[in-house]
Amino acid sequence: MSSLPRRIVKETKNLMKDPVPGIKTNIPDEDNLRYLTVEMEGPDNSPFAGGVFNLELYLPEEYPMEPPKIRFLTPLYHPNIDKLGRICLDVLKDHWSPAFQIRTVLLSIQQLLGTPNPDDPLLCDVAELCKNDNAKYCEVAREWTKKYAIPESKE
Amino acid sequence: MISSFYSSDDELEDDIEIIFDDSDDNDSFTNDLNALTLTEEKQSDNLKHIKHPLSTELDDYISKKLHMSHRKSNLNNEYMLFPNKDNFILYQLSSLSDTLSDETNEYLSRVMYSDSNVDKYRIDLLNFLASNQWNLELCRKICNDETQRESLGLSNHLEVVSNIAEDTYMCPICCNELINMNDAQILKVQSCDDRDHYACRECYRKYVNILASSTSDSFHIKCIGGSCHMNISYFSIYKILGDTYIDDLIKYSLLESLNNNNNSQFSVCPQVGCENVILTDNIKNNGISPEYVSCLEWHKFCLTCKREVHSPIPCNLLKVWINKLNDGNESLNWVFNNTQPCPSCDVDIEKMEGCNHVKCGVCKFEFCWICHKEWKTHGGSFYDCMHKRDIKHSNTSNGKETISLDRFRNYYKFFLESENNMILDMRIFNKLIESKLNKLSAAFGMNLTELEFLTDCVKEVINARNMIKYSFALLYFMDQSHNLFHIFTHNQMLLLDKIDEVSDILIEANLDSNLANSKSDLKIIKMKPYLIGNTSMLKKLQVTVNKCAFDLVNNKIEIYK
Repeated sequence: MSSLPRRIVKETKNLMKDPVPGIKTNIPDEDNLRYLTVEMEGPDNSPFAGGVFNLELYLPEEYPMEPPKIRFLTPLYHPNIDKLGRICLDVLKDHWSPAFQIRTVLLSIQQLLGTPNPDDPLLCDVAELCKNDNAKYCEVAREWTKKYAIPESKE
Repeated sequence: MISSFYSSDDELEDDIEIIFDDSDDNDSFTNDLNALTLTEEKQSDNLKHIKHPLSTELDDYISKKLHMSHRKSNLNNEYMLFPNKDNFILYQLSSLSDTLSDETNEYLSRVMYSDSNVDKYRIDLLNFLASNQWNLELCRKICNDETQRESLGLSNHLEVVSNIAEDTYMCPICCNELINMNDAQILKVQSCDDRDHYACRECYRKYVNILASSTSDSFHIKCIGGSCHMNISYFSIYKILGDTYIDDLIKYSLLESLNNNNNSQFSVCPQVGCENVILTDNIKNNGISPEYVSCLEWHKFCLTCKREVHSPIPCNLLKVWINKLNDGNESLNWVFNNTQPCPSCDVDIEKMEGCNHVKCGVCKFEFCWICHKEWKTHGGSFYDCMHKRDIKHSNTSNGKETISLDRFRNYYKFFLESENNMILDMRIFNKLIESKLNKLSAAFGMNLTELEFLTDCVKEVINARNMIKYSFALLYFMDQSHNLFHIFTHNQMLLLDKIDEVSDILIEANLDSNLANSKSDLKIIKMKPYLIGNTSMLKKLQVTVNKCAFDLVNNKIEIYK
């Protein structure tokens, strides 16, 4: 295994030892600390409550100078997350700072689930619904959560 | 794209005054730069402004390195030419320095002139330019805007943290332990005291490097912590990280501005591999009329749309035309571009090479590639079709969609045909090498300037071919029932006939052959007055076509978009 930057070793160790409440991180391959999987609980007071969402996270060569690459594996109905699970979030793009950590990014994503940003959408139709008929949007989002993110309902 | 040499009439000819060549004649250039500054000062104010000593010192530094020249475009606007980006940067530096000299405000004396260090002054100016899209007017505005100028961060520096008590310190970014703090490795931003935003020199280097190579509108460098949004000065980066870091920032920021289509002031020559930068000061163009400029390497292009010379079609219609060419299915486009249906059995035929006399491989029908008429009754040369005029505007299909498609196919065919003819003629021109001219010169005892008529003539034929090519693109958009349409096509045909006439003579003269052929050589020399006359005739006809095109466009008779 090539030598990993101390920063990555330290961060992953910290995440294992002291996880963020509601967010569980795993390292599927001990030989590759750059690849992590995440299980994120949907925030309460949101249509995603009760669901557990899977994400994958990759720390690129230039990390922490470049942001981590991260996407949802579980489908969800959200104006800033597309079919492939890609996330539109400023801190993952031009507002990234090397002082941010995996922990901060994951918290921001969890927060994004609770407070969608339909003014800067990735999916225009979802954003339209979210803005004009919020009740309907919540209903569809809840349905999707039930269908894809709550284990019991899968059977 | 095909580069072409274009100069359609005397008015359009470039008015060239090269101030500076590649020679190292620095003094003459300095004089010109000073002359320029003087006139600018006269125009802006009658007050004689006293320059800040730093500004004068910077001018000295710049004038030793700067290469540039002036030319005039076809619309008579003056433009400046720089052999590369470095020279353009120097010029913008000196212009900004002059612009700010005219402003008197406390910000300048407090921040820009605070240190009588010309390096700092230079980098502060670069900081201004790079964070404001290289636009002098924007820089001047920001300099007078109290809130905005502070956000530039010229007085906010990256500095070395000196008061660390520990022997070892962990950089919060890379998490490496730094031993022996006397090496001064931990950096912070002056106005930010958050310890989590400290970082080692290596981290800051990587950080600036990544910022410099990413696309962005403004090249501000912020505190590494992100959340505090503090911009920092380029000068402190230069001092603490090294000069290459600043160079990269400047380079990328300029590249970004050059690629920005909204920037109408300066552009890079679009020819692949050419580094020339063109700067236009008072552009009065409407964004539609083509404005032709040529760079120091004589690549001529349209400044308005950054394409090759395209008269008589205006820039906006050209764009629609090009979009149309790129439309649709790729392979269908290939068939469309490269084949024609046999007029007898409708099979698609691809012509790889050869003349216009084509025999269908399936039904053996022999026809003309251009007009699709049977070859037996066709007559005329193998390379030129006499029936263009007859078939050109025939649209007899039913349904608007098919009319439009047929129409497009028709004009596109002529567009391509003219382009091919131009390429053929350009081959001759390229082969009209010095040795041939030298041979002629030796054989007939003429000096090379006396033989210039030949190069002029070929050049004009190519210009005219280019015009014919784009005239077909223009015609596609126009209403063919309008009288102006017929006036245009009439003049277009006059030009085409003249081109063919002259082109035939040039081909007969074996200009592309190096073999001595005293008979044809003598003939071409004898034809000198005739060719000179026809060269100017070609120019005149091009002016007329251009005028007719102007009428067409201005009367808004376009129907297809």
